[in-house]
Amino acid sequence: MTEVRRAGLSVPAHVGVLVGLSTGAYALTLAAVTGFQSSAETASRAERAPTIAAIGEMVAARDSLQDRLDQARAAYEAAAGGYSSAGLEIAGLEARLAELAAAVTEVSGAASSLPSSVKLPRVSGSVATVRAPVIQATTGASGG
Amino acid sequence: MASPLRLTVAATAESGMTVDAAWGAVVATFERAEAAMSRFRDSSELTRLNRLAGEPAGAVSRDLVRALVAADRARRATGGRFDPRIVDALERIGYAGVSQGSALASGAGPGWNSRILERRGRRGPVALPVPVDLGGIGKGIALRWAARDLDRRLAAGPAADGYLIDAGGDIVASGSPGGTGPWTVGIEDPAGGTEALAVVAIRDRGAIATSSVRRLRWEHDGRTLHHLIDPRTGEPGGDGLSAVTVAAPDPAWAEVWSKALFLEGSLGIAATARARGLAAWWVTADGILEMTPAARVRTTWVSSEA
Repeated sequence: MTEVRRAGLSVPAHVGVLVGLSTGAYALTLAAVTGFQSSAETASRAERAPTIAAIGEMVAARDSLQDRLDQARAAYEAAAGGYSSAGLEIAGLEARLAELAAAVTEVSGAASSLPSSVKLPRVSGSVATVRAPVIQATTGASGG
Repeated sequence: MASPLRLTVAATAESGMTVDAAWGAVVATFERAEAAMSRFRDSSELTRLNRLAGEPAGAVSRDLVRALVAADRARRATGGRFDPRIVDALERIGYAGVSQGSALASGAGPGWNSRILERRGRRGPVALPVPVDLGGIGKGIALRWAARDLDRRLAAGPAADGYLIDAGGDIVASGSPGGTGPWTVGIEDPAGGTEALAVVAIRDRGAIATSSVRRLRWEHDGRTLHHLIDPRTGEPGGDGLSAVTVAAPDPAWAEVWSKALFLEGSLGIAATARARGLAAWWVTADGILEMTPAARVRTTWVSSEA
């Protein structure tokens, strides 16, 4: 066997080759594993892509639905407000009807207390009869 | 024709037209009209022409030609409602003047769209294929001529206030009765009442005429008849009406439309009068007075509203 003399270091050659080979094998193994992992991740990403896309569409649809729900809610609240104000008007009308009913009751009561006949005082004067105004001619049949 | 005449003149003392002169002019005009157009005169031009039974006449006065042309124009304007070719029908129901000849003699019968007179050129001889009665329109034409003559006389001298000519209920008036306000004319009650049914104003210039069954009604062959003949049937027309009055600028057209509207009857008169924009008043057989909007604006008093 050949001994390689180095200052301060004395390593047998067969050990150096073994270390180099091991290192290379490790590097090769590491690269293979890395490549494998990269391929696996790519395949995994490809498998997950449709699902991710579907999830994105569902999110967008949910947002659109949310917008429509918001609009419907706003319309409902506006209608509810109009209904409330109409209810107030109806209440006002009912109050006025009640007042009229009370007035009619008063009038009926007052009318029932009136006498059945009233003697009127004598009126003297002349009654003018409306006659046709003065005319200069009369149109009518002559038989002509 | 052959109607009582009345002339009212509102003139100042300085007017160039005396009342006597005006009256003479009106009487002369109506005499001229009678001589040309009367069916009741043996010597009238119209009687002579009617008796020729479609043969051309040698000489016919301009007055008669103008009257016949006016009657033909009225026939076309009213769609045949007014048509003077009713002599045979009038004589058949007992309303005869002097004998006028007959359509049978000429072998012609009126289709409503055929002309009343035949003439070759503007100056050729005139012929009447069917005898013609110019009674109502003749009175209106005479009033037209008389009014034009008075207008010329009034224009020749200091201004007069106005005049009104009444020819048996057909009236033409001009100016005013006394410097202010319109002439006022009453519409006769066809039932014989003494009070007018309504009073109408004639402002500045206008005419008014009435077709009515009040005066000319008679019994013939057991039927009550009148003289307003429907040319389409040859029988008295105007179902449901007693009288129709029309106001118009010209007295002849007032007469024509009063008769044409009468023959529409009570069911058709309102629509026709309104469609033509006529100022018309009518009295139904029930005695109800109705009028068009154009008539309402001229009406100053209504008996039923007083």
